[in-house]
Amino acid sequence: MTDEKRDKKHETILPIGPFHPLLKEPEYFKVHVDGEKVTDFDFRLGFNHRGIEKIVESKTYSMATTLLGKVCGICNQAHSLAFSIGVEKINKITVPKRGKYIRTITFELERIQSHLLWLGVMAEAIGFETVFMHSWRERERTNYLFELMTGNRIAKEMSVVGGSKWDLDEKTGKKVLSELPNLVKFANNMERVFTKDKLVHKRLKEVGVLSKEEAKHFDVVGPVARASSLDFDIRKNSPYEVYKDFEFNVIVGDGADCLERTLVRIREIKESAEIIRQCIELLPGGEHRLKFFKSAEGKTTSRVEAPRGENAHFMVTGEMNPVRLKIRAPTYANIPPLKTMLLNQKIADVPPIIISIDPCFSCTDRIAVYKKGELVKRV
Amino acid sequence: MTFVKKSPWIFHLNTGSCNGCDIEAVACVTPGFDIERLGAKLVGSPRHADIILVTGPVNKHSLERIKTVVEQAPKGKVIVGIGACTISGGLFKDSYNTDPPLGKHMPVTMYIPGCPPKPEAIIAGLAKALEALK
Ligand code: SF4
Repeated sequence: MTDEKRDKKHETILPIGPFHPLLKEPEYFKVHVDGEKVTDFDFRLGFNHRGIEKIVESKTYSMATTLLGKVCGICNQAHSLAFSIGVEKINKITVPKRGKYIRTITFELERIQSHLLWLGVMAEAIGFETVFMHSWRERERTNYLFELMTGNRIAKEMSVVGGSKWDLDEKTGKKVLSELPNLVKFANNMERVFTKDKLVHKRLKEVGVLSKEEAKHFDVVGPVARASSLDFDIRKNSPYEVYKDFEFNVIVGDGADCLERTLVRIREIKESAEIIRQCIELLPGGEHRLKFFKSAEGKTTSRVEAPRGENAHFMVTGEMNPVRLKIRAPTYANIPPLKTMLLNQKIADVPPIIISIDPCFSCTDRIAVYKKGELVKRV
Repeated sequence: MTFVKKSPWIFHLNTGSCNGCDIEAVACVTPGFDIERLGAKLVGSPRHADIILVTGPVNKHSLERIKTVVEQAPKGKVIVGIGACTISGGLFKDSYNTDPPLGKHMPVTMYIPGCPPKPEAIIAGLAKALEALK
C-alpha cells in the first residue's frame, strides 16, 4: 500500500517489544495495522548494544577470540572464526590442517545446533509446541557433543588464532559420528512434517513472500536469500578454511515464503551432517595449533558463512591488540526486507515472518553515536 | 506424602545479554531438563511471575524499561540473576553502554554464576529460590 492511499485515521500501532514474549531478546518493532492488515513496519535497535567493538581494542589476540565468541551465544564460533581467519591472513600464518578440520567440525555442528534451535522457535511461533520440544530435545545432542569436545555446552571457543583450541581424540570423533545419523533422521522426519502437514502449510505457505528481485534488491544473505532462489553461499562462492575438500550441496529453494525458509534450514542440517562426516573421516594428523603472540600491522576483511548468513569482519591490527574491528552480522542485512514481507499480511502472521529471518539482535546491535560524551543515537 | 507448597512461575528478562544465558534458561524448560516436572513454568508476562530470571549486563539504553518490567511483577517476587554478566558485567564490564551489577538497580535474591551456567546449575538455583519464596 502506498503512503498516499493509506487511511491513517483507522490505523493502530501495535508495539512488539522491547520486552515481549515473542522475542527472546529486547528489540522494538512497531507494526502499523488497519484492522487485521499490516500497513507499515518500523523497528528500533540498540537494546542489546554492548560496545564489543570498542572493548576488543583493549584485548590481546587470545582474549579477543573469547570475547568475540560472546557477540552471540548461539553462533559464537562464527565470530571468533571470522576474526581468526582475518588475523591469520594478515600474518600469513599457515594454519595446521588438523586445526582447520577441527574448527570446521564444531562450526558445522554449530550450524546444526542453531537451525534446530530456530526450528523450535519457529514452531512455537505458529503454535506447534510439539515440534518446539522435539527439536530442542535433539539440540541437546549437539550440546552434549560440544561439551565432549570443548568442555562447554554453549561457549565453545574452538577457534583461536593459529588453529583450534582443543585437539579431537579418536573416541570423541567416533562419538560425534555415531550421533550424526540421529540428527539426520530427525531432519528427515521434520522435512516430512513440513512438506506434508496441511496445518503447517496453512500457516506458512505464501506468507511473507520475498521475490527473487526483491531479495536481490535488499541484498539478503543466508537461508533467507537461498529460499528466494539466490544461489549464494560463501562456503562455495569464496571457500575459506577447508571447504574445498568436501562435497556438499548448497540448498536453494524457490518458494520464497516462510515455509521455504524452514525447509531450506532443515535440509541444511543434513548437508552439515554430511560435511562433519567427511571432516572426521579425512581428519589429518599432526599439530592442531600454532603458537601466536604478536601480530603484524595490517588490515583485511574476512567472511564466513554463519548459520544466519554471511558474517564479515573488517579489522585493522596492531602489534598486541586489534586497532579497529567492524562486525557485519548477517541479521543486519536481513532486517530491512521485513517491511516488504510484512505489508498486507495478517497480524497473526507477523510472528512467523519476523522469526523466519532468524533474527539475532545481539549480533546486530553494533553502533552507538556519541557526541561530546553524550549519547546521540544507536544504530 | 509431602506436597510442593508452590509451583513457581518464571518470567525471563533479557537485559542485553549475549543469548548464551537465555538459551540455557530456555533449555531448562525443554525435554533435556524439563523443569515443568518441578511445577515451574515459563510465563509471558511479568504480572504472573513469582521468579524473575534476569540475564545480561544491564544495558543503559533499556535500564528504565527493565525497571518498569520488574516493578510490574507482584509483591513477594524473587529476582534471580543468571550469569557472570549480572554479577559483575563479566566480559562487558569495561563497556560504555552497560551498567552492571544488577544488584545496583533492583534487590536480587541470588545469583547463579557461570558464563553461561549449565542448566543443572540454573535448576539447582531455582530450587534454592523456591525456599526464598516460602
Ligand atoms: S554471562 Fe556469559 S553467556 Fe551469559 S549473557 Fe553474559 S556473556 Fe553471555
